[in-house]
Amino acid sequence: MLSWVKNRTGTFDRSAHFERLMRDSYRQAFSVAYRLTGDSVDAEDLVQEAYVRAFRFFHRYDEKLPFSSWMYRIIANAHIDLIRRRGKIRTSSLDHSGSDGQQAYEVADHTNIPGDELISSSFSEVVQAGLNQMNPEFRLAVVLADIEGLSYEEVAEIMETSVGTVRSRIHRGRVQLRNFLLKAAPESYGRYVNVL
Amino acid sequence: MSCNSVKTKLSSYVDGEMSAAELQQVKRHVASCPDCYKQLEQFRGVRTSLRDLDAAPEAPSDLPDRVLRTIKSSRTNYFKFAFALAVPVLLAAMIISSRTPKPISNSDRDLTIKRQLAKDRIFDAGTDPTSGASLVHYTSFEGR
Ligand SMILES: [Zn+2]
Repeated sequence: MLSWVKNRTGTFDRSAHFERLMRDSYRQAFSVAYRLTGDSVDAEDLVQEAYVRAFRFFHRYDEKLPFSSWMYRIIANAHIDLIRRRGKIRTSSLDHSGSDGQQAYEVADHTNIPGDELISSSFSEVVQAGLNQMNPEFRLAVVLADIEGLSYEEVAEIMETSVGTVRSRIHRGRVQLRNFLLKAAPESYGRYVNVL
Repeated sequence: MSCNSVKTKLSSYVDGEMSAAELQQVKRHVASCPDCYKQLEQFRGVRTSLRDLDAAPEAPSDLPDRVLRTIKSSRTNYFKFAFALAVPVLLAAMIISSRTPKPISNSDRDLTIKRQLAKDRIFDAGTDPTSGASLVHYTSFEGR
């Protein structure tokens, strides 16, 4: 498909290599994007944007890092950009302007579902709604560790930070999720906890 | 180990992401502290809820093809953009270069000096209409 940039020497085709890596990783990338956005359409946009960026910077890709990890990093950055963009649109149109960026995040991040709307949802949907409410950096760390099953060290590599920071982000993310679940779905959550 | 110190470590404890020594310390503390034990269970519950999440929806199978199309069209657009940008830039460059004085060659220089001297002569030929004195010509012509 990318024959239009095909290497004339035929020794190493960068585009074909990229295409292969993409076909091997897009399902996983979509799943992470879905957990971050909580929405299929947003996840598709995010994955698409991330792969376009990845192709543009493919010459910078270091094969020491698994390609999927590199993609998670790009997805995470694209996700933050998306939230910022939406934050701006929302704050300018609804004049919800918070003095700090944090508030803009919370305003922009959708699915601020009050507890009673969650009664008809499955517990999975409630948990996803809890993820949507989480600070984006905590959310990424929690998604990578708890859902993708990566070690703290792998998460640190993706987030380009220390293991100590990852430790703290995961913990703070879980505190946010616990507080959300205690409010939104105490009964279902209680089934997962011996002592509530 | 204090309760506060233990509480910040409960997530790492649940994940087994700490040294064996630390693990033992936390284990001993929660065995004798009901409050920290309760929190530990809550974090375990959070982790299990995340692991038990229903699978995310499947990625659309045509997603890679769509990405490739976008890459291709963004490349074409890039060239279009570069061309659209190049046209006015080139035009501007041509206009500017036509206005910039060219370096004067020796033969050009002689010719200009001759012309200026001829002009001066014409000018000097006149007299001041108020005083009748012949005009003194101060020239600022740099070429002389
Ligand atoms: Zn304690």
